[in-house]
Amino acid sequence: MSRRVLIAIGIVFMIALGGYLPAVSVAAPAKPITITWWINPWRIAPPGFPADKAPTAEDFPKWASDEFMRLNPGVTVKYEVVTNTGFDQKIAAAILAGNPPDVLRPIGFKREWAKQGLLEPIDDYFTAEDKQDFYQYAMDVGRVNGRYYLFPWNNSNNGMGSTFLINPAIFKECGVSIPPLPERGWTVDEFMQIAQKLTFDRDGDGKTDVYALSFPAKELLVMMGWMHVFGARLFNADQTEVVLNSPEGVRALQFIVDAIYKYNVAPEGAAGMGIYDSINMFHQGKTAMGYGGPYEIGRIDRYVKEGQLKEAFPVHITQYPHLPEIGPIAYHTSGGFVVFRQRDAEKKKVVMDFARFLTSKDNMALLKSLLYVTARKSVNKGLYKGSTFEKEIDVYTRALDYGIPYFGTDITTDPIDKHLQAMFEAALGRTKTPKQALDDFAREANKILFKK
Amino acid sequence: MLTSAQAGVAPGRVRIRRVRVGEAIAIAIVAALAIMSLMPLYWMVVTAIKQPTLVMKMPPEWFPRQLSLANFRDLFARRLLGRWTLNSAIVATSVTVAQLFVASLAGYAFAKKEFVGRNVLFWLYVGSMMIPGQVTLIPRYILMAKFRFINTYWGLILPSIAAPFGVFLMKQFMQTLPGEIIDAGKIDGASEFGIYTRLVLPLSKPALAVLGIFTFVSEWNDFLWPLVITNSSEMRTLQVGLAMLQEEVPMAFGLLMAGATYAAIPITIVFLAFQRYFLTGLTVGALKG
Repeated sequence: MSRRVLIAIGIVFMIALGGYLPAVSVAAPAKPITITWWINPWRIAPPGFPADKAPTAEDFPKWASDEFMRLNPGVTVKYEVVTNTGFDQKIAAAILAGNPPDVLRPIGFKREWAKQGLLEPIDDYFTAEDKQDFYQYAMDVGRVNGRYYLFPWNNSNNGMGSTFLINPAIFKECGVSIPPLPERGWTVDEFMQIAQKLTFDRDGDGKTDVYALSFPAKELLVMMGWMHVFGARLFNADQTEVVLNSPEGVRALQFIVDAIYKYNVAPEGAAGMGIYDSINMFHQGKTAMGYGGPYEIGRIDRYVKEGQLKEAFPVHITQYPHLPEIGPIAYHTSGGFVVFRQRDAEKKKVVMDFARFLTSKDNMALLKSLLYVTARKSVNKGLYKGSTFEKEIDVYTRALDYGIPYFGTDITTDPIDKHLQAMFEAALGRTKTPKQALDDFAREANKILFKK
Repeated sequence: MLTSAQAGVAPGRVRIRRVRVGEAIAIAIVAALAIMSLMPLYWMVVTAIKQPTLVMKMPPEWFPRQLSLANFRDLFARRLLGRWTLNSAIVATSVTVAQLFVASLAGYAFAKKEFVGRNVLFWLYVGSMMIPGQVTLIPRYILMAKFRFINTYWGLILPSIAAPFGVFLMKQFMQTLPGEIIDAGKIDGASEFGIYTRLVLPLSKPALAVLGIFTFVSEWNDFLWPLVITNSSEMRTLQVGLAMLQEEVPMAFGLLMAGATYAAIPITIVFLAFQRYFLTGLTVGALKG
């Protein structure tokens, strides 16, 4: 082969390579750029993660940072996994000192940040395809005064406040049939009849060994789910008043108190119970039903891998029970990433690219390892097809179609969370009647939020 | 009512018996309280050495039949555990040493030196103890950010050095030291710093021990400030690292108890090393004259 032919082949090869390279990387920035991003613990398995191991909270952010740096030479990405405890204090201190991270996954979108001009609006960074692809309610979580500030990522949460988990083995043991597919819905009356059958003394010592379910008073999403079952709402329609103490609210709370103390289908001590107590009871077979969605099925698998549970057990997802006149309910929410104000135009572009990278179709699909559903319709479509969880995911996403934002859309309810929890604790501990507890809460909450 | 003489019993013996009965009751009460206090500690250690799958067993095993180090193996397999421990040791030791130095100097000045505005300054300083830590968190952070001390050992150590409680404790103790000793030192030609190092400090050992233990324990256990001031996994302290572990595996109680047991070891060592001074030091300022 002559030298000229070799040179020609070389040139063709270089041109071909040159045409390919831009598809996987972008031009290096004119100056070195460092991006910082913070996320709370998400145990997502990055691509290639061993199937027999449980990922840690560091694995995904480390992979995402490394991958973006690989694709973008000249850019340094520094991540930090921030514990849920102290998360808000840390970010508040960083904002006030003028050095928040460039990208953050907040625990609950903070509308005040957008109102105070701390966040970059991201409308221009949503493509037409994005707007079609993201669920509208997921985008609306981050909408303030008509502009968007949140790149949606996870759709809904771990299922708390949206769906139930049931242990089919206990249902079978009690001769109770599972609500039928595709929705696995049930009315409140049907639910209570079933709950009574699922509460029983297995060893005949006169003590209840298995309860139908538990009521964790400290878990607001689960408890607010129950309130919504009966039509109660935290705010009135124009979100100017707390109205949880409506007759519907009193009826809902009375139902829960009766379930514990009158029908005895749930253990006493609910006032001091948190979500992990409830999860533990379900895992130990002390309750036939638990709370949560697909993520909680994944938790069982993770605990087995970590040696915390002896063996996995099959679990099905059902809707919360519903009143025929109201219909099914679930909790609507979405999480995502915000970008803090950028001074440098070149860096801003890279930061936005990074936020888009995190919420791209491929990377969003990594949420599958947590059995989460995503904020993109196109990703969800085939994500669980053919998997063992397909039916459960289908029940869950159908439940989400009935979603309601339990905590309003334009108000930050953080200041009243403790009062809401205290209300549930007082009612479930029977230190107040449901009406007293709700009236006291509404009075206090209206004072705090609306100066009424 | 029968007197002891009428009952045919010597008065001394009745008193001895009463004292013994009283002592026995007191010992029983104290023992019960001690057991109650030790119970969480016992449970922590026992849970840490149980088989992971037996941790949640109902009813719980108070005296586990099968012991296992699996939880500790899992704990020590964590990549950065050693680094977090080192960070905690550096921070807690540095703050303790620096605070002992600063507080003893300031305490000496407030106790034994006459200067204009001494009392006003002292009460202003001590009054700052009333301000909750959460309120000063953000100003402290902003200050550290201005010094570019975020995510550094300086940021972890500096803000804790000049703690008013230490100054208050040392001042109260040093007030009880006789002035004649200091005067004798002056007559012998000792410098101010010589009096402080050769006379005042050796006499203040009990107070220094108390302050040292309190400071070390509080710095070792501190969570919020190290979380706020550090930005990388490598700079975290043990408590922040263990909190992360708790959130990652919230129901791995065996592993979490192994972490808690591990974190409690240095505190226990420090306390045992200085306990002989501790009881003396606890009465600091309680006696006058």
